[in-house]
Amino acid sequence: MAVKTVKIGLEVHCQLTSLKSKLFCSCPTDYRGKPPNTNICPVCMGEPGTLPVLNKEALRSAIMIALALHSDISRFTYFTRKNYFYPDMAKNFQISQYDGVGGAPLAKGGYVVLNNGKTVRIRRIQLEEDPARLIYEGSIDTAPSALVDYNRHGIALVEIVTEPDMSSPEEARLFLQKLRSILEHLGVFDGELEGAMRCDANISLEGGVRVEIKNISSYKEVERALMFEITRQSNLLSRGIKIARETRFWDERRRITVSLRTKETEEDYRYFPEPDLPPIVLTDEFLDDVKRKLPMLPDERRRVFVEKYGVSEQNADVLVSDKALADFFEKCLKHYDKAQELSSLLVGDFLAQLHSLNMSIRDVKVSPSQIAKLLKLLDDKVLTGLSAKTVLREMIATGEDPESIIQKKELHRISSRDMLTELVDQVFTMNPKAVEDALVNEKAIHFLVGQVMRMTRGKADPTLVREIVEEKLGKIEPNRVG
Amino acid sequence: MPQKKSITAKDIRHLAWLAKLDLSKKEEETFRSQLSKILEYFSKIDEANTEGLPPTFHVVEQYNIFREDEPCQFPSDLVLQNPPKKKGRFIKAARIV
Repeated sequence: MAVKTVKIGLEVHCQLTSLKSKLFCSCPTDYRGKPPNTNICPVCMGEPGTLPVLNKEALRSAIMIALALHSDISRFTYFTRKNYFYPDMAKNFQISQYDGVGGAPLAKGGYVVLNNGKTVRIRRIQLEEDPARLIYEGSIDTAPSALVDYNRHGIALVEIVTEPDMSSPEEARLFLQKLRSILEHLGVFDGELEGAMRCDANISLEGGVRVEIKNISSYKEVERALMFEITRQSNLLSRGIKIARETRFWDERRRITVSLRTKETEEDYRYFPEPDLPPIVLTDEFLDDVKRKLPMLPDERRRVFVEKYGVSEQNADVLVSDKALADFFEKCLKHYDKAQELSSLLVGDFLAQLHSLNMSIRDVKVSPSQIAKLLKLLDDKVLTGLSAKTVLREMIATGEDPESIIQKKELHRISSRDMLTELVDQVFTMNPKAVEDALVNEKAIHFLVGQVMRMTRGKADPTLVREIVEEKLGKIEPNRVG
Repeated sequence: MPQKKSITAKDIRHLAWLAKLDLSKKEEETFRSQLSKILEYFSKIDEANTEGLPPTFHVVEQYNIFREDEPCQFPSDLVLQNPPKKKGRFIKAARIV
């Protein structure tokens, strides 16, 4: 099947997780892990006679995001009611913003540059309230009723809508990763929190129509959902079946998209200006103040890592794609000044070990000074690169000092020539065939060296072992030739 | 003069669907005629001359009313007295979709 041109646009919803209270009421935001309907009040539950009031910090955070995404901020903006009957909103409408006639979203335009160099344009940025969480007893298709937990309802959400500028599921993931890093650098968002970033995607294949996918719960799921949709649509197209312009639902458990058969159209939401919230007028002074206080963003930080510290571009890309990792790198740098070596350890073995331990950088027990110690031990040739991996793994999991791990596990590098010569002798005796091969084939030398490394569980100084092996081979060769 | 638009039975059925209401044929007709009258009444507004006037979205001349980001825990058990159907601390709602 020929690969068709794919156009992908995203509608990303990010909670402003650093806020202490909800968007329009004072309910606390620490709802995760709390019993259902604990963080609720008459305002977020939409009871008669209550009045929402905008959280000043939420507005400020949203403006920071708009500035960081090079978006054009409206000097005059207000909220809009989006009306629909669905129990995830206690009021039967969502306080949102609207980018249509009679609406004025917070910001329009802007862009994000991905790590692969591609520019993804932003269409609009707006503030709105998060809906409640619905639980169905049994399956969604058969449950007679829904159980609603309004704890999440009213949490401040920033909606970021892109133009359809991404051309593969991978680019959609890159976009979300970059966006996450930017938001984390701004200090307004923590992507580690469950459900903090969710998105809808629209996708069209050449010769098809636009299909919207809802309910993508994380940036990890976005690639999967889009891959499925590309396969589904290209199968239909190749069989000459017309693709329906529709909204589909990503079923995370079954890993498929299903048609939502919605009959609602845009005008059915009956958008109108929210009468309970007065409009917002933003002055240049206010915007300039926010702009001046913007922290360093990933692109700038990457430049500092490369130009000031001398980190390779590839390593810098990986470091700044996760704020916590970049922060950790800078803390380590205070104890160890070979930035490139340090960055290579972090983006290489360190991340690999985190991954295999299924840990996040936020859970690591190891301190920056301990990482520095490990690198110094490597520099001083106290242990081999192979043993360093073992030590690092232990350090990450337990927070123990590298020296004591080396002591405990007897991981000191073996650099005694006598001891290694003895081991090389043993290997030669045990592998006569390999020795013969090594005489004619350079590659077989690796095997012999590898055997010694195995016998010492990676502790032998590999350079020295190779030297001894080569010397020994050199002594055999003249005999054979002669 | 703007065109007078009367509400059809089809409009009523669509509105009822949006509001998740089941209407009998008789109710459809009742609401159709009532809503038509309401719209007719409001169409008087169309007669006003708004030439050159900026659109008004809010009637109160107030701007930038904010609150500080300070959390305050409301006694949620009080709020939970209001919903008619519950299961434990969950609020029970009709299944839609």
